[in-house]
Amino acid sequence: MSKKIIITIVALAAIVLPSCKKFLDLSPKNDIGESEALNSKDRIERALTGAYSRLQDQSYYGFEWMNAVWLSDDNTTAVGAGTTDLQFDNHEVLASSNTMEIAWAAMYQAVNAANNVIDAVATVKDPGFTDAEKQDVSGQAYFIRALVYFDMARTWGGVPLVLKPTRGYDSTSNIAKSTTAEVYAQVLKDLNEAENRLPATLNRNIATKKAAQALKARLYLYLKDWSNAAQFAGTVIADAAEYSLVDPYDNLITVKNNTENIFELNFTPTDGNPLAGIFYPNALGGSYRIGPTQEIVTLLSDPTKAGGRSTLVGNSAGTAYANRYRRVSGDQQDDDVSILRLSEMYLIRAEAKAHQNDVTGGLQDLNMIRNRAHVLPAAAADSAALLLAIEDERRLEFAFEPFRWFDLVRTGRAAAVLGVTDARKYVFPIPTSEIVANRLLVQNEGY
Amino acid sequence: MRRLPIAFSRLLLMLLLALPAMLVAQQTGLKGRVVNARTGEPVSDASIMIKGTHTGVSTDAAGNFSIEGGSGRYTIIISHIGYTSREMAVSAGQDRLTIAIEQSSAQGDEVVVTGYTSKAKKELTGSIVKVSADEFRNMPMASPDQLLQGKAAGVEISSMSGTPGGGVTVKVRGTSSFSPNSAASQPLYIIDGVFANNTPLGSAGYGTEQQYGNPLADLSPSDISSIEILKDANATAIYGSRGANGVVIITTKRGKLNSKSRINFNTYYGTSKARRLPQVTNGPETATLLNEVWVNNGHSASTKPYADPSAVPTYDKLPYIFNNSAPTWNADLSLSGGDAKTSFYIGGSLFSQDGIVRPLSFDRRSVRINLDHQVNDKLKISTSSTVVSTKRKIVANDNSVGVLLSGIGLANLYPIYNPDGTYNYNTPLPNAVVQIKESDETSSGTRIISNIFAEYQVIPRLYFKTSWSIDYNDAMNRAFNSTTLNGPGQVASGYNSNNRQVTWINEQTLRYGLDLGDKHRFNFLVGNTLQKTSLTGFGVGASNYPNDDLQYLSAASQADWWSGGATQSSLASVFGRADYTFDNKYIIDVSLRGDASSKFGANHRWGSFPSAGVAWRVINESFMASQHVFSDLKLKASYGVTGSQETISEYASQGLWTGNDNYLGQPGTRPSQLANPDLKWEQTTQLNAGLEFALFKGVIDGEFDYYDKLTKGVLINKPVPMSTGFSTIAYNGGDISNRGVELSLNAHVLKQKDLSWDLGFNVSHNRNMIKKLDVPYLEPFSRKFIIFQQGYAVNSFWLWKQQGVNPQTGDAVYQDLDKNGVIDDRDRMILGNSNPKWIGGLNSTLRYKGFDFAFSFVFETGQSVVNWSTFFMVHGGTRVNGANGTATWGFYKRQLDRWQKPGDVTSVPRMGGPNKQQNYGLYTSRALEDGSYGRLRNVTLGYTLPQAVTSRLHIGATRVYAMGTNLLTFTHYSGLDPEINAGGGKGTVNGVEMFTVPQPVSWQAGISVTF
Repeated sequence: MSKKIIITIVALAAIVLPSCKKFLDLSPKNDIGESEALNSKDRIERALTGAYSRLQDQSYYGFEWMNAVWLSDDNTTAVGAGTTDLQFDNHEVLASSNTMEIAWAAMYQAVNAANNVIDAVATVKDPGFTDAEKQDVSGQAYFIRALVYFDMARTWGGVPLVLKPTRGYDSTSNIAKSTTAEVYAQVLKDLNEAENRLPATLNRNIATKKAAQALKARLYLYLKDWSNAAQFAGTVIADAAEYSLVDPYDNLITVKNNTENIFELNFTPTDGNPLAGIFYPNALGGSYRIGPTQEIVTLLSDPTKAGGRSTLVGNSAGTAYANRYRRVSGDQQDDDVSILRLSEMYLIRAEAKAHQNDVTGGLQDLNMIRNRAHVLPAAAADSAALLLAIEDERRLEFAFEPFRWFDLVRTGRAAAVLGVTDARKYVFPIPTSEIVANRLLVQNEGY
Repeated sequence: MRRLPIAFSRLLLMLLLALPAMLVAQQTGLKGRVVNARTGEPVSDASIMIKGTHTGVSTDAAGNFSIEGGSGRYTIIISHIGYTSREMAVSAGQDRLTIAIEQSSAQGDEVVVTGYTSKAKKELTGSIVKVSADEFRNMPMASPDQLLQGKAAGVEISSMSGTPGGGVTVKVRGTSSFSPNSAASQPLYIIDGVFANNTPLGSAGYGTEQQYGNPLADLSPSDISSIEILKDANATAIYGSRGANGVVIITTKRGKLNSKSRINFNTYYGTSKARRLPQVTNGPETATLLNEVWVNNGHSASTKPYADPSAVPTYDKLPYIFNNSAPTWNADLSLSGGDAKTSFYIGGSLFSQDGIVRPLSFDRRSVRINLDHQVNDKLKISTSSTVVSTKRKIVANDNSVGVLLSGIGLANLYPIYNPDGTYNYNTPLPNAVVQIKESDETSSGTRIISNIFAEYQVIPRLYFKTSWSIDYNDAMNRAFNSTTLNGPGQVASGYNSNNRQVTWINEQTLRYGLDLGDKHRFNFLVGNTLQKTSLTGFGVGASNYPNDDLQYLSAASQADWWSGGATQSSLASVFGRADYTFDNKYIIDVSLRGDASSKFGANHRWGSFPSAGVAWRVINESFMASQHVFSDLKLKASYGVTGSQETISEYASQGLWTGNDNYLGQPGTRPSQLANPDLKWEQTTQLNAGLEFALFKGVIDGEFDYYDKLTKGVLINKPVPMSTGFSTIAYNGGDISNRGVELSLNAHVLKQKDLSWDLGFNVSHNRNMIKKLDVPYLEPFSRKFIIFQQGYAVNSFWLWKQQGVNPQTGDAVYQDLDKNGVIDDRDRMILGNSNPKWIGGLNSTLRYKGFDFAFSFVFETGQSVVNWSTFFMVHGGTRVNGANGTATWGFYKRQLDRWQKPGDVTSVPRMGGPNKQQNYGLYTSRALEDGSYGRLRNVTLGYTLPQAVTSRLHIGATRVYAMGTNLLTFTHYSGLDPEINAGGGKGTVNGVEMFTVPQPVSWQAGISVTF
């Protein structure tokens, strides 16, 4: 009998002990470890694709961040979902706003994705990865990082500058914020890297040399460096073979990769965005969360002012709606999001020239845009009048895109036009959760 | 060794001497069999002692024993837990003795299932509550966990919603973890020895926070024989890493050896309705309010949106949404019996329940086969298997675009139908009636839980058991959204998705019982478990079908989305337990379990979980012999450690990248998880001290327990600076304390032949507190008003406190904490939490001749509920068409109390106006309410037909009954139901109502017949 006990115990041990380590060592199937993610040219290119996809995130160019920006202007108003949107509409944004948090998170995910690519290109040992390819891949990542930090600086002012890929979490994960100027300086640095590395090829859906130059033109406009702004806008405008204004204006919306676009985020039905549904009324399959203000409806309905841009508003059974994004049906949702386009370059140069007291030159650029819209050319007696004309033109040309709020802030016109007199409200609050998680971070003034 | 106390060395000596004696086979002497006096079934493990000696044996699985040592006439003592001990005079040489022993009825003699074995309740050092089937039979609940409400002290059970087959939250002694994964903070469920998965696979509907189906709804309550809840560390530590949130052991019915085959048939039918319907404004009221908004917003009264509010029609959608006679139907049939070697239980059941909110429903068909076979005197093989098929009709029913949200939310001045009879799609929120009538979405589940074990008696009282189990759970969801549902201009769309979770478990135990003399009793147990769980899933969504009759994916012309993935986790464990009883007075037990989980890095894989308990059966002391008040008295204390790893994902310690980050049709990758190689087990230490007593010969019995639970290194998704590119990291990030007392009392008020009355009462108090948390966790649900913060209870509500409405301006006045004149996030306060302070129940059963009358009353007090629907429905004009002032959302009637003119005193601020965001956009204490409630959970009146009648009808025992559920609710809560949880499957959302299906009130009648 005692033999049986011994046999039993031995059998028991035999079952448990030998295979234990193997039994417990399980590897994921849906994911791969960090060390395998970036160890070859192919895998780094996949990570670059992922970085573009971060820009498409629904919390960033896919909707939420843009929503915060356009609700802050006077072209859109919250009509549906209610009070979250009202915070932006009323300029009473709370630091606990979910929109702020998810946009902040999505943007830093894009930064981390770009940082990973930049770091991996520099360190990977793959003989099949040529120098030219490395320049192209890292150049695109620098462009993406520049774009994100540019958007962050104009949204929040100074933010923490993270320039290395995140590999773990410890006390060094807490980084204090840099100043707005420091962030813009980093953007410029990254854009210079991008411009130097990127090839002069044409692809409107990814970062190219021209895209880097176009973003530099916009950056210089924000930095009020008029001559550089004019110069880089001019560089892109000069490439008439590749970039030209489309006519009618509506083709900007209906034709993907039209000749006007310099950098356009591509969306597909399987990789779509909810933008059209946000603006479309229920009868057309949308949720009518955001509506156009009466003012913009009046402006866009005026043929002498809007011209070909009148298609930016629609009307369904008496309800006016923004018609900038149109692919509302569940099987579509593939409206592209235009980030940099030629019309902006003309308007940047017009503004830069106005500041350099070249009213004639400025008017010439402005009227390129008015001509395309089939409205009469503008006239302006002086720079001040021209600047106001450009402001009005940008309002219509970029209606329902994330432009006007930033324009009014950078030109110091937000108080006069929107009645936002508290200058501390010109940047948004850093999300509460970030302040709580990062002890080195100080909330923006006024929040 | 030299320093060992004498008593212990003597004990050791006796052990050594006794062992060989027991191993020697006996040839002559006394032989016999011990059976249950009532059923005639053999009783195994009964102890046979020769009186006045240390000689004793125990019966084998067939009840047989054989004992040497006596001569002439002598006396033996037969004893067994759960039976009354018996002395019997015998003569040496008798070899066909049959000894019948009586099952005892006193509570202290009750046998409860503990970790891997069973034990008399009076010998426990830990805290275990047993609920037997009689206490919950025929309640019209889909799942067994709902049946336990109010039955066990310290166990908080609340249904998340009235969705049929929907989730239930079970908390044993408070919340000790927090995780969005709700299954993680729930107890471990063991069904006939199988560690059942309670990760929800299928939906019961969905919203931003899904209302998940309840995995325990896969078990037919009619098959259950008893449920035990293990509460303290001493009881649960043997389950180690699985036991931190308590353990619920469900035992199903089995056949009995040597019993006639019995057929039991039971059926009932009932109907349900909502306790209360939402009170929404009608068309004219809505129009009046909106006109006021328009004017307050600074527009001219001449352009107000509704020129004549009284002419505005009302289109009431509520009758389409709420079914006030939703049927529930159940039928179950079972056959059980056995011969000398084999016993069986075969059960089948059908259950069908319609939701009180259309079009939700739940159907279940199940079969159970439990078999036990005694191969020979030493070997027993048993199997328990159930196969269940469930089907839920689901619809978006929660808080994004659900039928309740749009059905209640959309102002009721929009027609439901156009004049030509077609649906009106031209509404600012979806027309819920279209969803109710046209949606076609189902979740079908298949569940197989099966266990087979063999138990071998190596020598008397030494058993080796090997057990093999599988838990197979498959959920298939599908939908076809026709063009009628999706609306004009839209194409049809649909999806199919499948999730499958398979767990297999292998377990060995070796247990040994040893009595040395009649004073020393020992039990030993060692064992191991290996467990592996695989989860696989995939889904495809497609659109643009040729027409609405071709409804399957293959007809669609475009794939919209697809998904697929798999995860695995494994757990290896070894455990042991020993207990010692001295003279029926002093009981000591110790246990230890080691668990290794694949979820942790190699350095932190193993966790060890020890426990110890002592009990003193004061009643058996000689000084108690002379008193007549106590018939039982026991003091007990235990301390132990349990763990948890359920809250974290399978590969939580690893730094990971994932795919599906595509652009331009190219596959892309991205970082998905931050590495934490230091991740380790979460550990809960728990102290339990208690008292069990019975008074006046068992007329009153009761139990009092005090516990102090501290969970350290709680596994959380700790918020990290998002500038890292990540939001959280799996982290041992906090300490949570739960401290409380529990009292249960039972009174057998009347105990006569024709009249009996039993009363049971239990109450418990728990104090929950987060002792340590580096970074407060803001739950992302809805507008982020749920916070987990050091120094406060879990699931606290972080709101602005409204002090009143300024009678002059009509603007809300909030407490300005920093007194800077600006109301912002710095003025938010923690104003309540969802944890009840007191929970309990009162149960009564009265029997008079053939009649039985029972009720069960439950209560929870001290918790807050955020009536979050009011944020949307008392919106003050923040949810209107801003362009022309017409309606989008309607209002709850409470909005009519708004401030209108200077001098008005009210708690509802003015409509619209420049301060509408401050008045209505903040998450204010206006929505916070006392969620305390008392509820008559259940009332039953039954009548058992007299035997004279049944025998003339040639049927067996027959009982007819009528039952009401949730008939009365006492609460100050103004929402649809205080027992609600909009967070659905999410463990970090509790105590929020947000367009959530309320608990049904139901009536039913049924009949049960035994042949």
